[in-house]
Amino acid sequence: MFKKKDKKDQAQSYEISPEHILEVRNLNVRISVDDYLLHAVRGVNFSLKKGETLGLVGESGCGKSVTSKEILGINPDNCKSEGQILYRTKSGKVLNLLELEHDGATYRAIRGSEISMIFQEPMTAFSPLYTIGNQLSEIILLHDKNATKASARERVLEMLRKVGIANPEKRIDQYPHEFSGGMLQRALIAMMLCCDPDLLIADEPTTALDVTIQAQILELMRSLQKEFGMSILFITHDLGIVANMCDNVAVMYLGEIVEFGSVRQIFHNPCHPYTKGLLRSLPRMDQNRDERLYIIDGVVPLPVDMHPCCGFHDRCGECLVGICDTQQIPEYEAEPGHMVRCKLMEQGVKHHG
Amino acid sequence: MDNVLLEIKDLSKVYESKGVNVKALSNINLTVKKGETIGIVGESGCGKTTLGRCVVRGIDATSGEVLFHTDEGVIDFLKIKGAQMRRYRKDIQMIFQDPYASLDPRMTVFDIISEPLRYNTKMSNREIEQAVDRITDQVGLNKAYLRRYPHAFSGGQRQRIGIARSLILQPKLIVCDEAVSALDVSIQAQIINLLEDLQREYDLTYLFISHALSVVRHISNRVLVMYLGRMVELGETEDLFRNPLHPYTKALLSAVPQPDPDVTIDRIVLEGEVPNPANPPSGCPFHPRCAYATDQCRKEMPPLKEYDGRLVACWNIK
Amino acid sequence: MGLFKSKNNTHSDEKKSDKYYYASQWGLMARKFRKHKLAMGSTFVLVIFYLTAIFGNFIAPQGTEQYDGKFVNCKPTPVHYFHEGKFVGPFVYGMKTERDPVTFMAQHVEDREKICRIKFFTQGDPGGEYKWLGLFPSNLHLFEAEDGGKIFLFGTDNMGRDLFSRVILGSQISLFIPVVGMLLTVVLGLAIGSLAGYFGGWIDTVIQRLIEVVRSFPQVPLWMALSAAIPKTMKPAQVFMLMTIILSLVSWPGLARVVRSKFISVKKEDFIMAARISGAPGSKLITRHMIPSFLSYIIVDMTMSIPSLIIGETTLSFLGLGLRSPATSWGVLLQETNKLETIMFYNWKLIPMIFVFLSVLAFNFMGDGLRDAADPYK
Repeated sequence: MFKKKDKKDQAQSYEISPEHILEVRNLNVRISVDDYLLHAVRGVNFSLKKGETLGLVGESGCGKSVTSKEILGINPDNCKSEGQILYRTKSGKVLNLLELEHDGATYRAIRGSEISMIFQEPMTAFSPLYTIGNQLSEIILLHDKNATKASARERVLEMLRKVGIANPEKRIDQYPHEFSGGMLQRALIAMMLCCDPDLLIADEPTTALDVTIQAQILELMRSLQKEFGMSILFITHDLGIVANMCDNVAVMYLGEIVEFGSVRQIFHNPCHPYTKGLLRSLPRMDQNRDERLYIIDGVVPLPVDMHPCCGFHDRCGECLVGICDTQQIPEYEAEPGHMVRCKLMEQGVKHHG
Repeated sequence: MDNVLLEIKDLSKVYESKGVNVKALSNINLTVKKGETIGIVGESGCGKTTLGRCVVRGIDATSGEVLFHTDEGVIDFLKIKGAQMRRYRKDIQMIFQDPYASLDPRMTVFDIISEPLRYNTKMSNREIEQAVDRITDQVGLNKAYLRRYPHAFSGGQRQRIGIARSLILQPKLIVCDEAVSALDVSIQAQIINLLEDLQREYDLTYLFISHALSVVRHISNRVLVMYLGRMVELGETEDLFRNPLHPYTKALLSAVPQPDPDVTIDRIVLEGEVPNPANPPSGCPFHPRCAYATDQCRKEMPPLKEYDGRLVACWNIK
Repeated sequence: MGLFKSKNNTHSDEKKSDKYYYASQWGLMARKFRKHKLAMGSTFVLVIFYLTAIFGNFIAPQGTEQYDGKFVNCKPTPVHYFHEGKFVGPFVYGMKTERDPVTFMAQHVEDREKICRIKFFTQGDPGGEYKWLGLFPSNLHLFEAEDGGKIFLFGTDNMGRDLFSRVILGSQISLFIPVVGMLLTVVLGLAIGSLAGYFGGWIDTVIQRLIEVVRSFPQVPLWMALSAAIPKTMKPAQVFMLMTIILSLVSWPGLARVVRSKFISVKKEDFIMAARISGAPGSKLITRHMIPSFLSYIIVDMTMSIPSLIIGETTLSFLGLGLRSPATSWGVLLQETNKLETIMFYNWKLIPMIFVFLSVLAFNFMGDGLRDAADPYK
């Protein structure tokens, strides 16, 4: 399914669980770079309930950003995807987003008013040539046919107040460069709120910010989620943020979800050697300072010419030679709702230590 | 005062741009002991990077002294020149944040690591090769890769190259400017352990500049908290993290998200943002965001005072 | 991008990546440049142009001083291979002169009776002697028609000079003046730009103002004024030199600006500070780190500046301010076409324009390719 077509009368209709808003099924993304093909996302499955926050964590190059951009259909043309991304629209219809044309009318309507995204660098999301108020009301006018210029401005003021921007009457007529990073991230969140989306994709939204500002933004996102009831797909490399923000967590490594579970399952009972290593290698505030940090040896390989194997096998201390490096590892259920992609979980194989 | 390696005295840095003076660093006083690690924390614009760069003379400080204790007595590192400079320059080195920008992309790894030797010693090519071999072993780089160019390496390995370069002159003090901030979690742990091993082996002293508080807590003996170019609090790591005294330190520590869903801390969410250093508030620079600010805080700058072996700049600590 | 491949790669793949790892910055550039098809094609075209120019006297059947009054304004001669259905090899027909029954203009038409084969590597007519590279006397020419036949591949002009020969001999000037001029420009631009960028302060201010002054002169009148100063009695070689100097005197500010801004931006790079902290003296900083870091940009800029110099030479000669006949350049050739009748009756005389066009385009495409290849972070 390499070609994306905007079929007006979809022959195929899709079903997803009624409480889900998004289901990603067997998503594969390949990126052609120079001479080779990067298999950036390899068979990713996950689902997102209404009003829930799912954390997508992993190190750089694990495919978390590619996955999120695929949902919005904003990956560049050298990315080829397979699989299904099923999304329930506000009208209740289930669409496979991969079948839509990237620039088609359907996708454009979904982007913004159904699915919104906030980025690491809020500056790049705004045009430096127009005032914040201009850019926000433009979005309202675009999505709401009944809005007038005056009513849009009112809405913008309300939204700016909601995201905690002091003195919105003055701020609304300022340009992006007059805002600090934290303020701009708030404005971006206000922009997102203007469209009232059902699903918010937050791609490292606080990485560029200072700790105290990060705390403000996270607080804001939490309270807005409570108020508007949207679902959030939170992409980050910071395990601390995940522990504080998310209901469920998907840990990604080399394009695969190696472990999926509730935030407590992941943090209190990590089962995949990678998750365990990652948590142990983090310096913690409550740890004895003389303790040496745990190390995962080696570096993340480049996903080129992948053959069936566990992506982590060459850095894993518990690698089963002959199995992990030659077989496609299936998912195992460690406890209800806690999936682990590791051979060691299989009954009869040496138990996990 | 033996065992002292470095004394920073009244160090200030003023940037002038378009007629406006921006005070990036105001009157920093810090005594660094041999073999210790001082963590320097704060948010962007607090002057921690400027402090580090002034100490290594990457940029010129506006006023103040950096007294360096050598075998031949105390010298002001900021004023030395000529032969003295050539002699002591190598003792204070730096590891950069961005392992991409700090390596010249046009030189091989061998040339990058050996460059300081060529400027500071009269070693023969053979001796240089041996020295590079030794240091690459030490920092865990594969010798087979020495003829490669930086673009062939990942972030963690580039940082090892940077560490090898700063270490090859066997310096006494290394300023680590956000040395692990750009790295992934699993790589970050590798580099932190490496820095600790090297410290033990060579009796190194670190100024460890970072915004990552958990990393600073792990690696430092003492921690200096900075805000808007000023010292806010300085103390032993354990004490400072267990019982922060300054309201800013308290807020900073409470803002760090803990990697545990069941740990709940009373988060102090600060209002507002770091003020513009070109136009700092009167009195205590932190007062516009401080919940305990009094009239005195608004008018007068609090001096750095000692409480229980801790230096704190706050009027409300009695 | 940190390019690390996992252990599970095939052996051949590892070999290939090894080459990549050991590639220097220049190696990487060459690799990227080779992928730019248009730039590669243009480079090929330029190599052919320059080789043709170097071996110009050998390839051109006539020298600059030769002409044939019997064959004035002759159309390009077609080269044939078959005579009445039989393969003969390359030949031209003999030529006879007729009058057009309507316009009464003299016309040269093919004499279908007479076959003149084309011979290769022949000794030319007397008058066709030349010194190759100004050193080796010779009269060897690439081709010639037997039995007094005439080959004018691009036709002749109103004095009966072979246009093909003149285009080739003209390229010696039109293609080499810009290169010499460019080199001069680089020396000036690099020196002045580095002064401004490295030292800054009042030196920078003075140089900046100077650049603005030079740049605000309208170019064509400036050229005209300067070239009017060239004495008419000068030999072509001297005129050639002077024109080069004039061209580069006007074009250095562009490069000086690039060099200055590169110096200023590279001064702030981390790796420069790293080198300074490791004790590099100022001279080493400049020669080992700063200049190499933007050398590739300078080369790109140089390539991109050649087209404007080609046009510059052409313009000067076209305006009659550069070279004069019998010395030849593309500009001189075009000057002879600035009459309406040329376009009406003798449109082959516009052929030199194609060469100006092609070489300018090729330099631009090559510069494009170099620029894309020179960006180390892409």
